[in-house]
Amino acid sequence: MRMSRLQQVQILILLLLLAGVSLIFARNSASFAAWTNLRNILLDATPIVVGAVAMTFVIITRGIDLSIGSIANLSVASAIMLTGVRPEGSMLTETGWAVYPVALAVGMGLGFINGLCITVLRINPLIATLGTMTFYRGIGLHLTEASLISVQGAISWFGRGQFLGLGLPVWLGIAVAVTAAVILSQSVSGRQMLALGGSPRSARETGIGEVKIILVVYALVGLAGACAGLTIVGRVGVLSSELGSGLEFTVITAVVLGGTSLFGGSGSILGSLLGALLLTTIQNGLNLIGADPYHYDVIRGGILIAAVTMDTLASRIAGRTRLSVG
Amino acid sequence: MMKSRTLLACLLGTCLIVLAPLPTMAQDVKIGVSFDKVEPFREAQKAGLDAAIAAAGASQSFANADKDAQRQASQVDSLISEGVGAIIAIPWDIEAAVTIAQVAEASGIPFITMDQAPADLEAVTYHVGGDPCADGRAAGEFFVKVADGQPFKLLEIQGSLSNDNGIRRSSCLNEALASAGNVSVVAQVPTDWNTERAMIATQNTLQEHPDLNGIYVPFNDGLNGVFSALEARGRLKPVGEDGHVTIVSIDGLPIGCKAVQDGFLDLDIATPIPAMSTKAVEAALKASAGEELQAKAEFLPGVPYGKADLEAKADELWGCK
Amino acid sequence: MTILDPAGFGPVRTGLPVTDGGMSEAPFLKLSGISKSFSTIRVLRDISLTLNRGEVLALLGENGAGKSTLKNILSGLMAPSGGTITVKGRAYEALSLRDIGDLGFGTIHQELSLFDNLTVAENIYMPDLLRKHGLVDWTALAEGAARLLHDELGTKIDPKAPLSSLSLGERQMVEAAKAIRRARNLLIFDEPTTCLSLPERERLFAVVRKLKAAGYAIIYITHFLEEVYALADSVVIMRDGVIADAGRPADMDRDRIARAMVGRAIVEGETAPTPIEQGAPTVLKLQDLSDTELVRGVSLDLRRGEIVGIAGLMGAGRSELAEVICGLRDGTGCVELDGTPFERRSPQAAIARGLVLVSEDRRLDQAFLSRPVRENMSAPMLGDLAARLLGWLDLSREQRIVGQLIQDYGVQPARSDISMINLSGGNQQKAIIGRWLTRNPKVAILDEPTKGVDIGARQAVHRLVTDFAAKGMGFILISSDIPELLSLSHRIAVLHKGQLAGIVERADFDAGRILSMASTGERA
Repeated sequence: MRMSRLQQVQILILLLLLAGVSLIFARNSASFAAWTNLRNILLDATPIVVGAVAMTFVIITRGIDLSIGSIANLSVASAIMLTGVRPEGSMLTETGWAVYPVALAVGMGLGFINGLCITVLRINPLIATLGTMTFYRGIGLHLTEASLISVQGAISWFGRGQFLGLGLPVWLGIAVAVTAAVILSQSVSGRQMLALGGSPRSARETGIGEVKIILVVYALVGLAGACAGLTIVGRVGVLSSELGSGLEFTVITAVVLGGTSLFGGSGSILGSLLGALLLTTIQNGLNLIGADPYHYDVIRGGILIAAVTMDTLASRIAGRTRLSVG
Repeated sequence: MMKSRTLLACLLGTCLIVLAPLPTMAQDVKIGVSFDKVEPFREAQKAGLDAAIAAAGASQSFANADKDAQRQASQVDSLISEGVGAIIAIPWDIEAAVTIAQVAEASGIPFITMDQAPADLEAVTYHVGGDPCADGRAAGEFFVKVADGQPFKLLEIQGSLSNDNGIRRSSCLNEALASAGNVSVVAQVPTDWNTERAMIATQNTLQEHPDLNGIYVPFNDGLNGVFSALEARGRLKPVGEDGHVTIVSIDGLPIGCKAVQDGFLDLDIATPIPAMSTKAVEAALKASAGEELQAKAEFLPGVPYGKADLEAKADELWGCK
Repeated sequence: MTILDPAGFGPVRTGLPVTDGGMSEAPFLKLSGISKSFSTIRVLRDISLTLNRGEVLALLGENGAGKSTLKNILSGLMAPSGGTITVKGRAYEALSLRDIGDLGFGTIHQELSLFDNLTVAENIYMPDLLRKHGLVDWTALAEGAARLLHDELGTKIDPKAPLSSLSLGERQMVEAAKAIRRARNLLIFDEPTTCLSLPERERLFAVVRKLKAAGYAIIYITHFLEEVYALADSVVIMRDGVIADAGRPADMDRDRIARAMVGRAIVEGETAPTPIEQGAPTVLKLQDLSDTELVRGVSLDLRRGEIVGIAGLMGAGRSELAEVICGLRDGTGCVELDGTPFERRSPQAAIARGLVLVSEDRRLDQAFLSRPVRENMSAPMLGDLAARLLGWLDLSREQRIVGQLIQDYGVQPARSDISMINLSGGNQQKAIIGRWLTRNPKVAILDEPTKGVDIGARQAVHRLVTDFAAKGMGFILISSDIPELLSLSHRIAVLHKGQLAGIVERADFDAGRILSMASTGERA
């Protein structure tokens, strides 16, 4: 249904922030506002967007998934090791189309395992995915022996492909965000996720299939992780052991920036999308204006704190108006 | 597996030569090896150590701390209780390394650090590492030479700002560039040693400065990202061709050597892993036998090589074998 | 006559369903020898009862008697350890959530099973929201919810409103709508009136009667005796996991029911306040106290040893008044404690000046549920327990003092080391009240002190209040329980929409009059 007042305020804040930083960058860099740069920003943002959209579902159900970066790594690594061929004496691994279904299936399977740890073994999501984060990365390192694997062939099609002037991953990002927004706001499953996150006890008493929902949302994060991994490796043309490291923090930061409550029960896909774009835009703009490297983290952290503070203020105001109604 | 075996064989060969004068007293000494993480460069160092230890006739016990100082401390503890004769460690946390060293020395076990210097060199028995500053300076001097007095726009990709190698590879590059007013660093982008971020940094900088002249990539893993970004803008041209972007990298990994051979990388500065490994093992064996070490710490500058040097420096270029 | 269409679809039908017609001798629901154990503790033993459609069975018992366990078993949330459940002649060892759905059972939980972050209509239809083209059909949802809420239950709740904007009473109605949407046969009401205002309570009664007429079998869990007489066709009283007594309400007088509940006779009206001393000084003086919205110009005096009851409907501003007095809520006006103005009010300052508040929602506001009883009771006196120099806590002294308190206030089980959450609601309340009264404050404000507690605990709390008042403590007693106010108060101040409608002296106490003042705001 419609966005709540609070969510509208949060989206507005994000849009203002995005407009504000864009304005500052555009004034200090000749090429920031160029179409090609906008395309770059969208393309760079895709892995974060896809991850953040799926992560929004997980966080709405009161969960968290720290293993998304490791899933990106392991799903693509296993797909390349399983389906890729390296001719004797060559440093390049040739990949076929099989790399896509295998990576996506592995990613989804790894996400599903997270879901099983949380539902069947009843491990706290933070702990469960902290464990699988290390575990999956460990297997990935083992598979590739921590070496750099240069790849070519089908895997580059997606990361480097273009359609109507935008990179293929950008289209994927748009499709994922739109579908997810519809699911969250218009589908029964979306309502059930919100309900589960709003009150797990009520959900149990109401007969909402808690286990099914949790399995699905973590599998979706796995799928998103694989998409992110495929995008990155396709673009860079190399599978490195560092692939996906730190992705979880960027993704979770984007979701939090987007106004999704870490306590579950409310969230916005549009917000997560804007959060991801904001983070990427900042990275891009700082690069263009030749910022001091020591400023990158300071500014990113500052933006996060600013957004969360405005968020808290907004919800306090919303809370007050609600009080006077009730 | 295949890859590290060939590496091992190559390194073994190299080390045999260097180690020839070592007395064969190390038969029953076991050396504890503690790594901070595994990645391509560490794999090469592991192979180097394996070769040096095998050449000395000693045995080893290996542990990987996987980017966790606490884990490294407890792994060193178990190495000590295992009864190793000496420990060679690549510390994850340079502060924690001091404490770990003190624990080992208190148990009478020589503690040798390799590659990453601990916060206090006095704490360890011996340290051997590369010389990130010398490497950074060599890169800077190379850019100044290529610029040849003309205006030169340089993108500096940074490894990490929370790590000694990352910081000094950067600061000494800039020291070397300071004297040449014609070379301007148009962007400095931290990447946490991540290939994808190196790609994005290159892509963005090309956006603002299409006339970019050079890129400093202080880790070989970043090269692929840089090449992809250049390729996407049609700027990936071999050395000597019109529009080529001058690139200098550090590490000497196979991927770096390949880029030099293919003509896309002007200069790579190979960290002298065989010499470093040999010195570490040598020091470990000496110290465990109670002998005095001549030096407390040694910093080995890298071996700069371009396409022209491939044959002349073949012995030192472990990544090219 | 409007008759419920419990499924929410299709045409409606009057009277008992045809399928059960002619089988009136076989009960709709029969429990035989139901028992339940958690590890070694037996919480239910040999529970047997029968229930027919169109019948209301009142299930009574103190907290901890096993009512909730029985409710959970019949809601499919828990499997019994023994016995059989027979529904329409078919025997079950345990009911799964699926069985519950198939059998048409529904539960209106006391702690409502609703979602604050969804709308009313979504709540009612969760988890099977109506769909069109695979997406949620908002129109059908709103219409269906409106039918249930307006036509069937007679409320005026807007189906599109966010649940968070509803009062507790309205939420209860949403919960009822949610249950009757799916349940066709049996409804369990779990202490539904605990938080309701009087008109809401009356409305709920009407709904229960309507549902009964529509042929529902109803289990009504409560501990209000008057509700039994108002609604029930049969009564089952549980104590310590067994059925202590059962029968028809007409055959059972209050004494018999109360005795069965607590295992001993309860003499109602035993607690009455000690008369106030002549010339007792005023300890608390409120002048024109207001906040921005819910408290408007309240003035009131409280004398030493006096108990002033505060009556009012939900939303009348009773709790808010208490919060303004203690500084938990911003407000204007003047508060005088012991003759000196109490300015720049804050909870800490209030405690320091001898004014304490035991709030309504003790579980949320004041108890540290996962901490031991000992720490819960000693929390406000840590300053006294700490050694002067270093701030070490004198743990053995804490243990000693708390042990004494547990005895004084009759907290059961009498152990200081178990977690607060393991105590029943009544015992939590005793522990929290004990925590504050021990400080010997000049004035104590108790907000709904016996809400949700059983008869025994209620009596204990009443005795505490009158005893401490006799020793000179002043009390402001906020309660929705009129008999409680009538029995304990010297005077009753009635609030209506934030304003003082009037103050009634004990001699003029009359329940009807107070209620009409509370609902109209005019002195009758």
